[in-house]
Amino acid sequence: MTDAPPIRVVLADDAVLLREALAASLAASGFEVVGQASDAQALDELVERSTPDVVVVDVRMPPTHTTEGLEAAQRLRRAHPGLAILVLSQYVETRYAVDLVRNDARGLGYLLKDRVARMADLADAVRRVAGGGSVIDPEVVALLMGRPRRHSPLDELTRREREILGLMAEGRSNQGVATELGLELKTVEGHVGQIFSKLGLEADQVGHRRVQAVLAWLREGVEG
Amino acid sequence: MRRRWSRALLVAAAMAALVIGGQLILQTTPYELWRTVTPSERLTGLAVEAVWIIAVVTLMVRQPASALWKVLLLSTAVGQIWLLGYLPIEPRTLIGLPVYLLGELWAAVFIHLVIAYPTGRLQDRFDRWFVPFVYLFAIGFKVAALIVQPNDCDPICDDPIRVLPSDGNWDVVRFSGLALVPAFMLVSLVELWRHRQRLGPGGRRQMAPMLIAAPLWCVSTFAGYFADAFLDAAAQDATHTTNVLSIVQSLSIPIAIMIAAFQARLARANVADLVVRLGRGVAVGGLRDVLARAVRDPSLVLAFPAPAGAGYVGADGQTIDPDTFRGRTVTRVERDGELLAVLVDDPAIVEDDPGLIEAVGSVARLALENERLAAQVRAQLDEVRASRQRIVEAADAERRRLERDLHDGAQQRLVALAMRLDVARQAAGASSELLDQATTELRAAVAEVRDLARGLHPTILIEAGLGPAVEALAERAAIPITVEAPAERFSAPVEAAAYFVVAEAIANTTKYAGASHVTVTVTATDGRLRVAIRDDGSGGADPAGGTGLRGLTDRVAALGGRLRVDSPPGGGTTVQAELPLPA
Repeated sequence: MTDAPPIRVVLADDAVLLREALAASLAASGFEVVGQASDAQALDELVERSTPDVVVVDVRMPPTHTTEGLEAAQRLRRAHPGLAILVLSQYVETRYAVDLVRNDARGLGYLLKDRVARMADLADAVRRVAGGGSVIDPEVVALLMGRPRRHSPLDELTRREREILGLMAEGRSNQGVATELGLELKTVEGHVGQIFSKLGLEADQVGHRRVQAVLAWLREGVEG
Repeated sequence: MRRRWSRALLVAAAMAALVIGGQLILQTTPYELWRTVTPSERLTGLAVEAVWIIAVVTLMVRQPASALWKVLLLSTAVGQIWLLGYLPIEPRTLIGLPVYLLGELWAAVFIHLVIAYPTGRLQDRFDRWFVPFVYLFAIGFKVAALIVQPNDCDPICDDPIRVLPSDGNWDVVRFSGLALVPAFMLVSLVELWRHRQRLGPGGRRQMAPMLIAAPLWCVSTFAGYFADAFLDAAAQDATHTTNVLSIVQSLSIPIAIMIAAFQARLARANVADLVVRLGRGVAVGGLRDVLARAVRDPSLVLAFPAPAGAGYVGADGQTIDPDTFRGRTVTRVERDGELLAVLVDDPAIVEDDPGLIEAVGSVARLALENERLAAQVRAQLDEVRASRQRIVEAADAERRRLERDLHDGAQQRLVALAMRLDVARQAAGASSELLDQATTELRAAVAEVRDLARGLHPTILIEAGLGPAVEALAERAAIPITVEAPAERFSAPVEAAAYFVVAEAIANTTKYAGASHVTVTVTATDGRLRVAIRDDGSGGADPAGGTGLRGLTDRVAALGGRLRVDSPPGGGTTVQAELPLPA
């Protein structure tokens, strides 16, 4: 891409076909795939050995094919605090996404697998986590925002404000939101202030802290 | 029965002949000592003998398996020899010697009787060694007495307790008797208790009268000695102490034997009660208790042939291990050659009264047939229940397998294909509407497969449990749902059943009820998981309608639970499932 050294990526997925496709896609987007693993243990060893910038890990791996990828992410995060991790998941479950970033959202992402069908989306997500940002799949955010509620402060938000809240929950920065919606940064900042005051959230949170606060509010703040 | 009677009467006649013979010898002898016995005392003596004879007849007719009558016969014979001791026969003569030597044998026979009770047989090595030893001692004592006792003694002065002028050797002999006779009695009582402990309830019941009579006999025998020794003749006559003691001494044991035999007779009367009881009808499963009461054996086991052919089941349908029948009496009850049931009971009950169990079995035949059918149906029901649970578990396993196949097979391929398509499009460098369309279709297919897999068996249910899975359902619902569920985990079949009940109820509410809010409550108390789904909709739902709930009713029932739908018109709908939690 540019003169900067390429981002070094390790892949973990037990499905060879998909892993190869992912590797091809990432390489085509300018990443350096430094290693591939087919289970959690091999992943741990690979990370130890090749010190990548980002790990892209499938949520389902042997032996139970349920949520090994999430556990691997938490474990790797403890062992390598600076390592960025993107979990590719088949599950549209808000619990998994919110739990992943609950304690520390920096450089963590939860992306649905069908999202990676577009090279650009995958590359964008990998770059964002590599840069210390957070990524939450829009479909998961839509589920969080869309849960029917009897009485909700969300009802008091304007359409635009709801849109911005969703993008914040996906892990976008104010600049990211502005770019996405084609708005001035100042305008976005004004909306964010409004949203925070309507929802009763602390106003000056930024970056990953803001993602955590918004997600926690969406998932646990107001009951159905 | 007739043979029993004739044999009993034969033995009774022999005993009567012994008694009459003894009496004749005494009556025809003009001996002074015998004359001091008053006519009323003689009559009492004869009455006592009659009681013994009646006891023997009762025993032989009621308990023919018992050999006790032989010991009783022996004791009668020995009793006559003791009587002949009243005659002034010089011990050192051909007739006098055996009469003298066997004069104290009656005490040995009593000890024999107590130890051999109730079968009449010596049961173990100790008994077989001890009883002959007592007999030998009784004779040996007399031999020693004959050699060392002072010559100026009257015919009964070898009584060990009687106070006599001191004489070295004689003192040794009589004090050895004084010490050993109570010891022997004590041993016999201990043996009686030990034998009782080995018996079942039926045998113990039969032992009860003897347990009172034997100590009574020992005490009265000793009291008799002391009365003889320390009360003078006038005082004895005045108080009748010796007479009373001798009556207690001689009657306690035959009366105990008769009471025991009479108890068996009472058991027969229970058969008549049983007929009445059965006539009034017995609740299914209650027959064992009724029969146990009739044969007076609380340990009675009632077993029926298992429906599958081999083995037995109880009235509750549970399998009974035939090994537990070992050492017990098994009575088969059949009808036209077909086994209806087996009665398994205490061998002592059968020895007590061999016909009783069979009588009870035949009286209860019809009731047994009913109970057998009920037991077999229960056993089959248990089997069906188990198989239904297995079917549900197999279906769940199959759904999980399909879910995995979809995720790890079809979905992976579709995603990989979409990615390669995108790479191809990038490489082609030009945007193609056709390729865009294909990508969109592929992504829709991936989403569909994902939803299909989730519907089959959501991973969150396996991985995080019922509460989070229900919470995830609520997020996806079209109307607000409040969830109250514990974080606790339950067994996989219970979690799956509860989850699908909630999912189906929510789907129905969303489709038909016109509700604005739903509450899902999950509680686990008293070993049961309760799930309630309440909506504020229009109600009036038909619980029988819709295959969804119908299938869930079966699923819940397969786990031994219940599903209830309350849906009064205008009053909202409540679906409640209750599932037993495996301990």
